[in-house]
Parts: sequence; C-alpha cells; structure tokens
Amino acid sequence: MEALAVGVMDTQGLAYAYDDGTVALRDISISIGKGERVAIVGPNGAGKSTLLHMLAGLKPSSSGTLNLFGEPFSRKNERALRARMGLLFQDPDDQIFMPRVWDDVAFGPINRGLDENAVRKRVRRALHAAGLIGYEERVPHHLSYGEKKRVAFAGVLAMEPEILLLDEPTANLDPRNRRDLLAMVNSLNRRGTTVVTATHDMEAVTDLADRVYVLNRAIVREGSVREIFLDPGLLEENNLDVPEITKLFRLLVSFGHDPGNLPLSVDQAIAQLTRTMDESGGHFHLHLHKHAHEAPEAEPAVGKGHDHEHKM
Amino acid sequence: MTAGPIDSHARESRLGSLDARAKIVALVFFVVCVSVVKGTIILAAALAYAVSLLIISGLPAGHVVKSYLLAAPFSVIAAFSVFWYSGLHPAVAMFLRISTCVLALVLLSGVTELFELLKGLRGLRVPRLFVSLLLFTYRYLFVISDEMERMSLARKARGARKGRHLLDREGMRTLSFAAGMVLVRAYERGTRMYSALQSRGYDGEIRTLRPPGLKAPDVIFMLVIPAFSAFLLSLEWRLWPWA
Repeated sequence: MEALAVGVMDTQGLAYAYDDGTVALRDISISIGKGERVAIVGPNGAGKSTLLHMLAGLKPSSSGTLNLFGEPFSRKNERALRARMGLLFQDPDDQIFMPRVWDDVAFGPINRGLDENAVRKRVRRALHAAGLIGYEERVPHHLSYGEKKRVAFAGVLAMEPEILLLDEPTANLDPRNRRDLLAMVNSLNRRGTTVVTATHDMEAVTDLADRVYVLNRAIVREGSVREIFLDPGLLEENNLDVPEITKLFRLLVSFGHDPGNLPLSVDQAIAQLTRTMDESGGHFHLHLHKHAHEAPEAEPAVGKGHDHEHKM
Repeated sequence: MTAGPIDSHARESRLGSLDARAKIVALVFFVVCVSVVKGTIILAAALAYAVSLLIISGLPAGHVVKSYLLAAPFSVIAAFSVFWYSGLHPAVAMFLRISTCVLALVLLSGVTELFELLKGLRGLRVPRLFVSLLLFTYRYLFVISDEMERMSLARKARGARKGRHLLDREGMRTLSFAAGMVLVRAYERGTRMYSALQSRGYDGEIRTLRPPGLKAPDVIFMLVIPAFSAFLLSLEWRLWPWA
C-alpha cells in the first residue's frame, strides 16, 4: 500500500482481557492513515467489536498503547479525542437514547457546546444526508430497524467525525438501506473522513475498504482487499468467504476465461466483461466441456485442451 | 408492543403547546394545596375543577378513565382504612382528595409529552441524575418490553407452558430464568449504551436546546390554577368573613 503520510490511528501491542482473565485480544499493532478505508474482518467472536470500542477510546486496553491523531490516548484527553471520532454501533437501539429523533441527532452537537443555530444546521444536514427529513418528531420505538440505523447514523454524522468507526454496519439491513448506508459512508470518505469497518460481510468489504486486517484474537494478516481475497486458505481458516461474484469468476478462469484481475465486486465484474468483449469484437470465449467425473476426488473441469471422456 | 405511551394524546390536546414548566408548577401547586384541604365540599369543588380542566384539555375520556383506574386501588384502600379508624366523613374526604390529585397529574402527564415534561423538570432544577434516570427508563422500557415479548414467543415456540399457580415449579423455574435473562441483557445493553453516550460527549448532563421563554398563555395558566388553588385554601382556612 502507499506510504501512510499522516497516521490518525496507531496502536502498539494493544491487548484486552476480560475481568475473569480470558484474553480477548492480544498484541494488536495497526496503523491507519488519514482518509483511508480499512476493514477489520474476522469470524464471530474474533474480537472485532472489542477492538473497535478500544479504538474509539471507549474500552481501556489491558496493555499496549493507542495513539489517536498523533496523541497518546489518556484519561486527560479522552473526551477531546472521542469527540473527533464517531462510532456506529451494531444495534441502533444502543445508540438512540433520546425519545425523539431530532433530539437524538442533536445530542452530540449540543454536548459539543455549539450554539443553537449551529446545532439546528448540523442536525438538518445530518438528517438530510441520512434521508430522514420529516422524521424529526418521530419516536424511536416506532421506527423500523432500517430507520433506526439511519437515525443512529445521523447522530454520528452530526458529530462531524474525522474517523468513522462502523461495527457490522450492514448487518440486518435490507438491500436498499444497505446500499444507501454504503453510499453515505463512501461519500463521507471522499470528503476526507477515515473509515474503519469491523465486519464479516465480505461483500461489504469490497465496497467499504481498500485495506484489510484479518483479526482472530490477534492480527492474522494485513493486506489490500485483493491480496486477502485471493488467499482462499487464509479466509477458510478464519471462517470467511469471498463474494459470490469472485467465486464465479474463479470458476470462469478454470473454463478458459482470462481474468487479468479477478473482479471482487459486481461493478468490477461488469467492467471486466465489457472490456473483454470489446477487445475480442463483441465475443466472450469460454471453453465448456460436458463430462462426468467417476472418481469423487476428481479434479474440477480445468479448461481447454483437456481430453475428457463423454458419457451418455 | 402492547402498552401505548402515556403521552400519546399530548400533541392534539388543547393544553399540549403550553410550556411544560408552567404546567408542572401550576398543577403541582394545585396538588399540594388540595392535599392540605379537609373540607368535603371544598374538595368536591376541587374535584369538579380538575374534571373541568380535563374537559377543556380535550383529552379522550377513555384515556383519563383508564389512567385514573390505575391509581384507584390506592385511593380506595386509603379511603377504606380511614373509614375504619375515623368514620365516613374523613373517608370521603380522603377519597376525593386522592382522586383530585390523581386527575390533576393525569392531566399533567396527558397533555405534556414526556420528553417535554422531563425537560421541564430539569428546567426547574430537579437533579440531573433523577431526570436522566426517568428519561432512559422511558426510552428503554419499550426496548426491553419488546425483548421480553420476543423471549416469551421463543419460550412458547419451544413448548414452554405458563405457570398456572405460584407452586407450579416447572412454570416458575422457566419464568425465573427468563427474568434473570432480562436482567443480564439489560445490564449488557446498559454497558453498551454508556459507551454510546460517552462517544457522543456525555458528561452526566442530558443537554437540550434552551427552551424559549414563557409566553402569555403559559403565564396565564400559571396564574389561574394557583389562584384557584389559593382560593380553595382560603376557604379551608376560613379567611373570608362569609365562609
């Protein structure tokens, strides 16, 4: 990856143990640059949420150091540093504490000590960005899950954070809410917000990150999305998977399709197919053989030039 | 969700737009005055006054009756025990007194959105811990009752039956596990919620925008009701030559 000019989030040997001594995280050393999109992926129980809460300065580490915006995190500056970050919790109900949408979104800005006009402006902007105009007076417990997620997100937006931390942001969302959320996050990122996502939704990783840390109690691997996705062994070991489209293209490769680069998302796949067809005058070449495997352990159909026994 | 919020009619009510602080001050003053009064006729007048305020407010009768009946056991038990020791007259007075106070508070909670009410309390310098506690209780009551409903469905789906009586060991065992589970979940949610509060700059005070100043109708409300309450007191204390 490119050199990280300004590190906004650096940890050295961060660890976390529960009260009973169970080690949840050990030796976490990560470094995230300004404006980066980073995903922390790992199976259930890998400690993703715990790490995210630690990075947000909400959970004290049992050892190691945490540097935020170049400053070592401590009791003295915790409030100031937390104010520059926004964490979107997995369950929006954890995060919406006011009995009215407007007041909930205004909660952060008011705590920041902004004057009334600034608060109103920010809340309006956040509600607009989250597609919640008209929801100002609504009561949270009458909202759907997707709407609650939007309210929680608007509450984070209104803080205008420099680092956005997302805990399983796409979990339980319907396709439209999911798409909107991803679009909102990426539009923030284009304007310079650093985005750190904890998830096991690998489809979302291609949309939300350029760089990945694989976490399983400790950092197992770090690399670009492509590097991580092209290592099936690594993913398998950590109960993760690549997007379906990547799997499909892996299959096409074995049928003789030259992928150049394996596409990691539908958009990339479309781009690649279009390019391939343009280059070969509107054709898309695949070599398909119909054949049967007698032996259960037989090799999968590996494309061209093979001699197969055809049954039937 | 089963129970509707107590303030569901606040917005369409005629007194809904009044400042919460004005309503709290006026009606709490009324309640305090009424609780001092002993004369049955004066109490009957107070009750009539409370009822007419309810009529003016436009709160649906069903809502008022339901809320009043919730508190009825207390007024009935209190009146009955007074009857036992002091006779009919004080018992009727006790019943009227409690009913009037309950109705005044039904009016207050019915015509004021709960959030406004809490903001009003905070505006009147009620300790922030107390107000925050009420606020979070109100907000999370529904979350936790939804959770309990889901748990009860899950129990049913797996064939649990309800405890038929207090000695039904199997039924009670299931219920006690469920209760424990609700506690554990509520505790965990509380922990996460505190993190969320911290990450948005919470320092112990729930801040809202400063409410606008009192307007003429608020002031009138705050004068009329205490004036009538004081009038009741003056009757009770026989401050008028003709009384």
